[in-house]
Amino acid sequence: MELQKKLEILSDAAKYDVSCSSSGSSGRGDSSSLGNTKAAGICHSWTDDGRCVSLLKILFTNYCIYDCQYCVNRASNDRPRASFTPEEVAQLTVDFYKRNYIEGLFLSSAVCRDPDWTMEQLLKTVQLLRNKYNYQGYIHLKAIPGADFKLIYQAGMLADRMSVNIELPSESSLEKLAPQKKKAGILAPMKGIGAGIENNIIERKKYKVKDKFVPAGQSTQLIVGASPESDRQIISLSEGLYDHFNLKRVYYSAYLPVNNSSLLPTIPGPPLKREHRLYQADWLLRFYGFKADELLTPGRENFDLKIDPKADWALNNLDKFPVEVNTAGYEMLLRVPGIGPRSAAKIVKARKEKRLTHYNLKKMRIVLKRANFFITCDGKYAAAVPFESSVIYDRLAENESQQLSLFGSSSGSNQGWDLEKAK
Amino acid sequence: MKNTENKKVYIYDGSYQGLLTALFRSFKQREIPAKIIAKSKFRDDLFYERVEVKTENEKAQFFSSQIKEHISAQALNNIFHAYLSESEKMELYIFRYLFTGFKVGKKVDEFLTKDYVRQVQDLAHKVRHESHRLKGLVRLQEAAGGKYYAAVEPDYKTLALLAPHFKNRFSTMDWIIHDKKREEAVIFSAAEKEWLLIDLENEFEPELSLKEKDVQQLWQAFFSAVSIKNRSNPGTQRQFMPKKYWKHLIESPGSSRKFKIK
Repeated sequence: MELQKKLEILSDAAKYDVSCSSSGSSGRGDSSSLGNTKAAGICHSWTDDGRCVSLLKILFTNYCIYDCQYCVNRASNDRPRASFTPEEVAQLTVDFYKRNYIEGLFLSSAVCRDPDWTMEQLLKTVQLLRNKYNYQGYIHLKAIPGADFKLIYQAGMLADRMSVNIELPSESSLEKLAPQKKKAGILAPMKGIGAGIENNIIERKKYKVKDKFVPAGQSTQLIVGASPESDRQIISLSEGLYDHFNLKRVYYSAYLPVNNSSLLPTIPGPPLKREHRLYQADWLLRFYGFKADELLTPGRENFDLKIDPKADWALNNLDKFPVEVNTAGYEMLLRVPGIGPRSAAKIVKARKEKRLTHYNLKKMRIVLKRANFFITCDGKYAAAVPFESSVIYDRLAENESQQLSLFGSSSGSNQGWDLEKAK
Repeated sequence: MKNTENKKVYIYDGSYQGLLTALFRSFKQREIPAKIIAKSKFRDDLFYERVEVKTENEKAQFFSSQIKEHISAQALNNIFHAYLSESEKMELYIFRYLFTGFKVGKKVDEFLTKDYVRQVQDLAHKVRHESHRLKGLVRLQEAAGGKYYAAVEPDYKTLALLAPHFKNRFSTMDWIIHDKKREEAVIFSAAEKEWLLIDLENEFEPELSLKEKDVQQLWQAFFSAVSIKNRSNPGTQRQFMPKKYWKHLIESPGSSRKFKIK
């Protein structure tokens, strides 16, 4: 098969993987090698769906022995299939990289023959790139569930980031929709990589070992809307993964109906709004010092689609507001809707010089659209509405009609992932 | 520092060294110029006294070390990047920024309620932002002879910021990045491991290598294939990659709508 055809098939098949970040790794490469990595990451293009392209995102093969209900590449689907060779992938990566099309390679794969064979192919590709082509750009590699951990570990010594997709927000859903994957085990390699990263950091400090293991950390991805879990379950899961498995990122992917299956819900379009709210909440967990159980409590299972999770939290905790910008601590400023780390830092800096007024904030380019309802400057409250939860809610709510929740508000019977047991 | 009777306009040659020399003169002579302006932008003006400042590298060098010592390395960065914006009145904002800076030291960057501090920071930020964007959007093409060439038309004079990045990344290749708007180029040699800023006329186009078209085609195919149709969102695409940059891209945004696997 012609190379271009293969590339079309295998990039089309890989596009449902969300992650495209190229950040978190630096210091690779010197003047005799091709490429390096930047800690901040660089995007090279944006696709028509508005997502950034920073990595050459492809599957090694889309011949799959598994038959997961939600996946386009499931064995029982009739689609064009193709396989690369390690040499082809390596050559393609180098060609694209040299022209500054990409920041690196994101190599994933369907499971062909068996997990070990597939992982070996991925490992061979990375070895070619690092050793033969002396390529030191970014590499994100999928760890194949069920493959021997020795292979995964070897690959991790060469890659920048690794990921294992947890796929669905609870074990019971995975059992139902992807029984073969469940058997192969997802949490085991995740835990192995997490422990590997931790040990490597200690070794590097203690014994001056130079080689890094997965320096940009590991990430995972789960599908939102294909199974009945609530938002509260999902963000608690994310929090658990961040706290116990050393994960850098959890990605959420709104469920796209690509297959017809009686086990899957039928929906008019992907729940993009819900996905967006989950990402917002995810950011609140990682950068704003929120805890999952502050954002959603039993009884309030899902995010309000009309207002963002932070504003939602603020309206439910209105006794903590309004905040006086001239005296409030940095942590409290961060909790004001509309004020993020940058604005909060600006305020803390600028108020050392003089007491701030609304005019100053505006000039400092701090967006007051939402913040105005929750702050006072020098004791003045400038939003022209009474300080009441329902009034502010109306002002903040987006005008679009709400997407209806598919499964109602809660499903108490669902157990979720048992992270404790895996530890 | 006192305001002299007859107001002066400092005219410098447009280079960064020239601007630093002019600024140095002003602080040294303890006079506040009414304007500092590049020669190419200067229109004759009856009300001001003209002072042409000759660029002197030692003075510029000395002055930047003074800024680093008495204000901060961050401030020096800010004024260099603000200078690259080539925006109107940039010189005067820089002057007042430094004026306050020499009084209060590195704290100057906290004076966010002062207009000129914000202006300098904002201009610097815009320049850094565009240079970061270009680090991704520059598209090299393999020319005959194994050298690589890219054309750009940035809003700001960003070549000096791009060069170190691409030097670290493509240190085993020979390459040129050509700013068509300003008729300048950065040229890098793998043997010397050094980059150089040269003049290069707008019309310059290298002859491409035989393999180049094939690789470009592969990239276009990849670009069309990775987009998910049911999530089409051209607004976000343009927000991150404004149309002004499309001209020199190899891929064509919007192409996925026509794309289909046969």
